[in-house]
Parts: sequence; structure tokens; C-alpha cells
Amino acid sequence: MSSLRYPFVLASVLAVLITLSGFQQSSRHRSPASDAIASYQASLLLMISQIDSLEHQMKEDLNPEIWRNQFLRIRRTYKTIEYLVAYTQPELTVQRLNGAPLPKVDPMEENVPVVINPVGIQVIDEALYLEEEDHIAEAVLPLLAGLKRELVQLEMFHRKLYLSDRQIFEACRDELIRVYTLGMTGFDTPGSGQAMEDALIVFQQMETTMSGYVAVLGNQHRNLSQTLQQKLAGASLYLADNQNFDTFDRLAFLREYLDPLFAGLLDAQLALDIETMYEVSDYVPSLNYFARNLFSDSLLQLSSYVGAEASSQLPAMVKLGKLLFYDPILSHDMSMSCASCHHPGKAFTDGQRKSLATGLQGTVDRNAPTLINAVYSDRYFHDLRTFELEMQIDHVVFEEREFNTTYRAILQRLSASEEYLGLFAEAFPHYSNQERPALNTSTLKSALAAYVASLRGFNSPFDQYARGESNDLDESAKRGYNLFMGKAVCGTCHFAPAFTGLVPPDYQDSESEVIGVPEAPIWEGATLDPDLGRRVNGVPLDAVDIHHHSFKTPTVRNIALTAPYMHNGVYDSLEQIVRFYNIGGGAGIGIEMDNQTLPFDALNLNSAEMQDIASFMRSLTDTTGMTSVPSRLPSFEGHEEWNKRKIGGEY
Amino acid sequence: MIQANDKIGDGGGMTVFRVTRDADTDTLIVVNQTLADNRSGKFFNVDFKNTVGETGMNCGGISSFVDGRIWTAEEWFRSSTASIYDGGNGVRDTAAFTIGTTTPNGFPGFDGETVRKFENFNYMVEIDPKEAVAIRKQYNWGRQGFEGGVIMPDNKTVYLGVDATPAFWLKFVANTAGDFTTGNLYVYKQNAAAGSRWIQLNNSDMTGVLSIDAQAVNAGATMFNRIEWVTQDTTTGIVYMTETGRDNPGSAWRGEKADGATHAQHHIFRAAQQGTGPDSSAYADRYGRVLYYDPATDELGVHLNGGPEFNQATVNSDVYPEKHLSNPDGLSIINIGGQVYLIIQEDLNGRSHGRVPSDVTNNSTCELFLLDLSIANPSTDDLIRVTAVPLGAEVTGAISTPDGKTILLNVQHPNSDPAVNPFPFNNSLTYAITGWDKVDVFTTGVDQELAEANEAFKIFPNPVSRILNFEQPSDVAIYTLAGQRVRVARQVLSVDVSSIAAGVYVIKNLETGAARRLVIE
Repeated sequence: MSSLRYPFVLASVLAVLITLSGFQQSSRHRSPASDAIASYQASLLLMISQIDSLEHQMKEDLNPEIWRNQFLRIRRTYKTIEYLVAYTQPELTVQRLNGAPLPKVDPMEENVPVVINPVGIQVIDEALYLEEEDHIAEAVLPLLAGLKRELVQLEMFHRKLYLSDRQIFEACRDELIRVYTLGMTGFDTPGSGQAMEDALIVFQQMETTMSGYVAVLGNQHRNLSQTLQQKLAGASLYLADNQNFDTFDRLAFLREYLDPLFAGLLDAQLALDIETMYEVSDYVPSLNYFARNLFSDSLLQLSSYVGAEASSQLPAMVKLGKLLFYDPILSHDMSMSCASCHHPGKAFTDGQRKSLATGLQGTVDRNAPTLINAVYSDRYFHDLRTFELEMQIDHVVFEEREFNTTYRAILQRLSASEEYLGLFAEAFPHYSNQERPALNTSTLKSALAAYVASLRGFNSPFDQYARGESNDLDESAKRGYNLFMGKAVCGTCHFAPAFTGLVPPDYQDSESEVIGVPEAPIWEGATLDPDLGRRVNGVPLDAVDIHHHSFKTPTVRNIALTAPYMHNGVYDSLEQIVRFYNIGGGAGIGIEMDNQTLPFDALNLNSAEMQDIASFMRSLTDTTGMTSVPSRLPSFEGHEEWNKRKIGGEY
Repeated sequence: MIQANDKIGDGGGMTVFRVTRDADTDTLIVVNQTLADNRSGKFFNVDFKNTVGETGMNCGGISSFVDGRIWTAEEWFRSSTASIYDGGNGVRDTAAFTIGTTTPNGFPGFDGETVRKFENFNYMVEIDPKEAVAIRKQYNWGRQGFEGGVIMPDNKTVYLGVDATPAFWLKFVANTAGDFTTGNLYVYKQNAAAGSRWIQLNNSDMTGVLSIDAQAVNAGATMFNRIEWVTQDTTTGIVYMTETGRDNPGSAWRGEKADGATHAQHHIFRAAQQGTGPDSSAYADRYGRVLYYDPATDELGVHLNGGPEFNQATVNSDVYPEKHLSNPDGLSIINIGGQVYLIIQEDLNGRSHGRVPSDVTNNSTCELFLLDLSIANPSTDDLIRVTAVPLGAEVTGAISTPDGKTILLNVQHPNSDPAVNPFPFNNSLTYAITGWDKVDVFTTGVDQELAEANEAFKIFPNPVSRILNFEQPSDVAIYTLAGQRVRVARQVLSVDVSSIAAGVYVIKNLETGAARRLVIE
């Protein structure tokens, strides 16, 4: 039997005082979810037959225009199912269906790095539009065959696909982020330039998928239902009217449609009493499902990046970590602290091309990166050499040009301070019952990591404007954001909202790029900086040639405070950086590389546009509440000379 | 009864014992005690003779929801010394009784008053259950054939039920919370204007105390047909009482009616349905009912009528209804999983007219039912039958233990023939039904479709510590008892609950609406 009072279970039929609510989804009745699945299954079959046709055409006659038209049909079909394909098959999507057209290390290999060539829609897109006509069929046919093979398998695999309403909503909300941060930035349209038409199709599909829910919602939540309907239809209309990639107002679209839909879908899901992922699993994804804005300071779930976040003692850990951060007691000669290279006034950088080594004996190898928002990463250092924020300090402690010491020596020193012992005991109370003292290597690392993780700034003038909390943002910065996310394609590597290499919508992988940074700021006939970067980071699976000169994509946030720029500090100004990219990166200044990953030759920005991008980057400054320096450091009994050490170190 | 007894003193009696619970099995265990007067053992007779004078026909009474104080009720109204003497088989000391001469604490306002011996019967009598001694007869609540009552949360107001026809609905209000030795007594008059339905009676001296009936009649008070137990749903404030019924009450109250007393609205209405009036010998009220009284509005009416009604005396089992409620008597409250139920206990006044099936040998069977108080306008179909008791016995005194796990109930005066009731069921018994904290409360008061769904929704194991399995792929949601949803799983055969805090939850099948109680360990 099944109650016919779909879709709500009327709790009143239960003899209970409490109302037990829950969206009723019957697998045996037609529902918005089953409609979406049926449409998806039909589209998979359609896409396969469209590929058949294209293969046929390519074998029949040489007419690239016809091929491209047919390919665009395939693309459109894919965009109607992208939200479900990418949601149900994220690895397949990135690796085989619609990954970036760049060689990658096979993530399935665990021991020896194996480089695999890219396949899928983006590669076909690039080949169809950018290859010479004579070579198109030869390049594309094998790719089409591979794509078809994957889709045929997927179609069989998904003939009995079951998705709950929760999953439909999650897929749609993921897709909102995906279409805005990847699709509309041009990330996945290297050749065809179809980004805006793709986006239109995505929003039209979302309107269709959501229509069943919007109707049900209307029974009890009329206002929410109407708002959602208006925003869904409005987004499509706006996109239909504004199909120019270069002039599309992404900031207006964000405030008017994207954020309202991102929040509206969440509200609808909750109003319909559809469970959220947190009621289904204990797994904490990086995307905070309760976030309501793309630029919300809580969009990225802190606890998925750093373990200390889960501790109830977090404030005590941060307090302790901050003291340690400014305490030169950690370094061998007590001259250097973390703050020596990470000045709070410079958004925790040091203004040097490369940071000064201990004792002022030369420099270390690279430029000091900002620590603000550094937590939003899955790997650390310019060369991505460490995988945990907590492990990052290892390299500072042991490096002879930095702290030049050992944990043993540090712990020995700290244990001479009753004050430090008390602070560790307070921050790590669970150690008090165990043989291991609260002061130990891992608590030291946790405290420092907790402090670094506390350095977060998502409240810049840009953020406030983007969230609609303020209407006050420089017009040049607004234009700059639209260029950054559009014509200048910065956003295809510096992904919103952190503007780092953390890839949406999962925000779990940090990317590195090969852009050809020169040794010196020379604009013609430049020499490549010799630093091999990721290729030599010591991680076995990274030791492949595609990682030659590859460096982590850093955050653009607070960039106004973090000059000089690049891993070697080669550029002094934002204008220089924009110029570097505008002429095509390393390739544009005479550096020959076979693995540069910039998806363009030149951006063709005029000087006003370049200024606008710099203005936008200057609107990303937020160091609020992060710049205070401790007024004193813990004291050491019986070590009078230690107590004379300077807060933050000698320099 | 009232019996001569050299061991515990003449008159009626009362037994107290203390129980504890075995933490592993939830079994109740009667514990050994030594009382202040050096009596030791498990079961103790309450000493009435040396404290308040003898008692008679101790029946029902009051267990205070507020603080656990206990009163016993002397139900069987005595009107002559001879009737308590009973030819030497009853109370043998028939000398006039002077209040305060045997009561350690005395009774302010009544000490020193002398009454005829039988006039020292038919009161509410407070006892100390911990020391198994009586404290005082509650003279200022009046002399009536009391059966039940309830102490209200203010610890001042007491509602009192009287097992007689006519019975009057009485209210006592103490001057000071917790001190019931001074205060005013009122009688209910249903047909008075709202706000003036309680009429004060004289309870300040024995003249008043001994003339409650006459005062009530003079006041035009409302008459009932044998009010028995009284209880309260503390979550709503509503007071419930049983009115057990009498086959043909007309002759029992028409004299009082003539003298000024009034009939309750539901009797007038019921008699009218039978084409007659309450005073008529033809008026039948065989099964009784559960009444409600709302202290907030002074409204009183029928919550559940006994029945179904049969006009013919003989009702054979082929036409006998699945449930039949006759002569509700004992009445109390139990809270199961946050839901409040009345515990309704029968004490049959007769066997005819469907009170028991006529064609079944030894058919005098009383039953104990639960009734979900959240059901508006309940019928006898809403009753949940919990237990029947040995033949010939009444079931009464049922009470929920404070932890909600057990109902303790009394089986009184069964047929003593071991051929009818095998030993030990041919004796009066107190027994315990334990496990109410584990009962699935969701199968009650629901439509047939849902009842079937509940039956079909199988989960195992329960209690569960890690993996909870279902019989077929299901959409399920787990809720706290406060209604917060903590876990949802769709189209699954099992769900891992190991990360959910231990405790009691409700699991619901989102497709069928079926729900079950779930214990996570």
C-alpha cells in the first residue's frame, strides 16, 4: 500500500504528539525525481545516437562546418545532463567525459606516475575548432569512439538509476556552482566558445527539473515557490538576451540570479522537508550545503580542510598557535619566528622576492605566500609538496635556512616554560589522562595549523558587494571582476570563491599550472626561471615531465598587500602580472615550453581593461582581525636571556 | 469488607510494600524493610485501629501526583452501628468515638468531638506508606461513601468522587498548600451559571461533616450514578472520573430530586434518548462511562460511554463486539513515549445486556483497557485491551510506576474455586506488567491502512548498536522523541546507526508512514 496523499505524509494520522515529517518519495510513483531520471536516461541515448551520426558524417564527407554543427548538438545534449552525470559520476566526468584538455597523472595509479592523455568533450571541442581541417577527423574519430564507449556503458549502468529528491537538489546546487565558476568562465569550451549557450541550456534544464518541486511547493509555500519560479525563468531569459561572452555581466547575474537560486533551492529543499546530506551521512564535504552565497565566508567547510576545526578547544588552540607563530623560541638561534617571513601587515608575506634566510645569510628558494585563506587547499607550498596544513611546519623546522632545528629541541625549550605547559594543557585537555604530555610534536603542529586556519578573510569590499550586503563597489573593480571571470579567463584557474586552484564544485583538489615565469621581469627574449617546481617536490607521483616548472595556483585574495608576485617574486606590481598574462604568459615573452598550461595565446585586453582587473584584485583585501601581534610571549623560568627574545624574532 | 480480626485490628485493611527494580531484567522485586516501629518483613498492614479508629471497606483513594501522599477511601456507606458490628463479625468495639483520642496528631477543629461509632466511618483516610500507619481521617472533606479523588498540582485543591447513587462531585480547597486540615468544601451544580457552579458546604464542624448529602440536596447540586476513581492528565489539566452506572437508578435518586437536587445533563440527555426521564424506573444506565471535568471552565461531560448498548438481556458470542466496556471503575494515567493514556479498569455490576457474552460458561470477566487521550471523541473501538483478570474478579488499583516501565494492578475477589481459577489465581493478587517504556505507541488510534503498514514495517535488531536491517528496501527516517530528524536513508536494506547517540528514537517508513520505536545502544 502507499498513501495517496503524495507528496506529504500527514503526521496527523499518527497517534503521536510530535510531528514526524519527511518528504515522501515513492519509488513506485511518478515524481519530480523520477521525471528527471527518465529525461536523463533518454538524453544519454540521444547523445549516443548523435555521436553515431557525427562519426558517420566525418567518415562520409569532409565538411567541418557540418561536423561542428553536429558536435554542438552533442554538446547541448550533454549540458542537459551534465548536472546528473557530474553528480553521479564525478571521476568519470573529469577523467573521461569532460576533463580539461591537458595531460594528467593517472589518479588510479598508486605507485608509479603514469601520464595519460586527455580525452572527452573538451578535447574534441579543441580539435574540431583549432586543428587544421585535414587533421580533424584523424584526431576526433578515436576520441568520439572513446566517448561513445563510455556513454554506452554509462547508459547501461544507469538504466535502473535511483536518485532521491535530496540528490536531485544537491546535483542542481552543485551545477549552479559548476556552471558559474567553470562553464561561464570558459573553462570547458576551449575551442567552440559555447560557454554562454551552454549556460543557457543548463538553466533551462534546471527550470525543467525543478518545475515539479516548484509546483508542490506552491501548495504551502506560495512566496518561495513564486520566487524560485521567477528566478529560474529569469536566469534563462537573462542568458538568452546576453549571449556575448566578453560583455556578459557576471557580477549582476551573480547577485540577481545565481545566489538567489543557490539559496532558493536550499530553502525549497528544506521547505519540502527533503533531508540534507548531513542527515544521510557523517561525511563532511568541502562544500557547506547550508551556505547561501557563492562568496559566503562559510561556503567552504573549514573542518574538511583542517582537523583542528573539529575540536571544542579551538579558541585555546588558536590562542596558543598565535603565540608560537610569533615566538622565535622555535628557531635554533632564536632570531626567527614564523612572522619573520609572514608579516601580518603584508597579509602574512614579507615583501621580499624570496624570503630572507636565517641569520640574513642569503634567501630561501621562493617567495613567501600569504597565509590568509591558505587553509583552503588540499596541498601546501608553491610546489604542492605537503598534503596537510599540520605537516607544512616540518619543512620550516628542519630547513637549515629557516628554523634549522628539530622538534625534540623545540619541545625541550617549551617544556621549560610553565606558561607554555599550561597553554598546551588548556588547548589539548584530552592528553591529560594519557601518558603522553599535552606538549608534543603533534599538538605543536595542531596549534600552529589552528592559528593559520583562523586567518581567513571573506569580507573584502568585493565580497560584501557580491553578497548584496553593500552596493558600494568601484565601477572599475566591477568591470575587473567580469573580465577576471570572463574575457581574461583568470577565473578558469583562480577559481571562485577563494580565487585559488581549488577546483569547484567539490573544492577538494588544488591545481598547479605551468605559466612560464621568467627569471627576471623582461618582456622579450626572457629566460625561464630554473626552478622545476612540482616536478621536484619529492612526491613520487608528481615526478613527471608535465610538472616541470609547475606551481600551485595561489589565491588572489589580499594580492594588493602581497607583492612581489610569482613563486620567485619576479613581478612587483599587479599591472605587470596582468601584462604577463595578456601577452600569453611565458610563451609571450619568448620562453619556449612544451607544457605551458595557459589555455590562450593572448587575451587582447586594452589598457583600461587591464587597469580594471587590477582594481578588482585590489578590492579583495580583507585582513580584519588578523593583524594584531601578541603584546608579550610566555616566559621561561631560569632562562633570563630567553625572556629577552623579541616578539616575532629579530627581523 | 469489615471483619473482625485479632491480628491487625477489626475493620478494613491496607497493605503496603516497597519495590525496587532489577536493572538488568526490569523485574520488580519486593524488598525487606524494618519500619520505625520495629516491624520487619516485606508486606505490612497499615495500623488503623490504634491511630484513627477502625476503617471499613477500604477502596480506591488518592495517590497524589504532587508528592506521593496516599489516602484510602472508606467506600461502603454505613448508616447504623449494627451494620458495622455485623453480629460480632465486624467491628466489635462499638462505643462512641471521640476524635483525637487515638490520633497522634489529632485534627484541628474536630478534636474532642464525639460521634456514634458508625459515624467514624466513610472518610478519606491519609496513611503514611513508608511506616504503614494511618495519619488521620479527613473529616473536613465530609462524610461520604468515597471511592476516589485527585490532588491538583497546586497541592490545595482536591476533587472527590463518591460511590453512591446519588453521588455528588465535591471539591475541597485547602487554605495552605500541602496542609489539608483546614479549608473549604464545595459541591458541583452543573446547571448553575458558569463561574458559580461550585457551592460551598459547611465542613467546619461535625454537624456539617455528617450532613453533606442533605446540604448538597438543599444546594440543588448535580447527582451522578456512582462516581468511582478520579485522575488527572497533568499535561492538559483535565480531570477524568469513572461513573460506573447502576442498571435502573431512578428509584435511587428520585427522592433527592424531589428535594431539590438536580440531574446531570448527560443523564437527562440519555434518558430522553430512551424516551423517559432519569427518575423513571425504566431509565437504564447499565454500563457507565468515563467523565471529564475541566477545572479551567468548570465544564463536565462524557468522555467515553460504556457499551456498545444492548437492549436485550442475552447477548451471545456470535454477535458479541470485539470490545465492550462495562462498569469502568479503577482509573489512572500512564505516559507511554510522551503519549498520555487512561488506564480503565472494569468492575462488572452484572452480566446481562452484553456486559459479558451470555453463552460462555463462567463468563464474569473484567478487563483492563488503555485509551489514548489524544483521540477526540473516542469510542469503545479506540480502547486497547491490555489484560483480562481471573473469573469473578474485579481489576482495580492499576498504577504506573514513576519510571513509566510498569503497571501494577490488583485482582480482587476472584472466584476462589480452584476448579474455576487455578491456584494462585483463585486468590486476590497484585501483579506487574512491565515493558511500557518499550511499547510502540504508534500502532494505536490509527487507521486500518496504517496499522497494516506498521505491521509490515519490520526492523531488526532492536535495540541496535550498529547496523539496522529492513525486510525490504525502504525509505526511512530516524527521529528523536522530540521530533528532530537525525538520519534519513532511501531505498536501503540497512542503515548504519553507530554514529547516532545512544537513546530512544522513532524510525519511520517514509513511503508507508509506518513508525516504530527504535532503541540505539
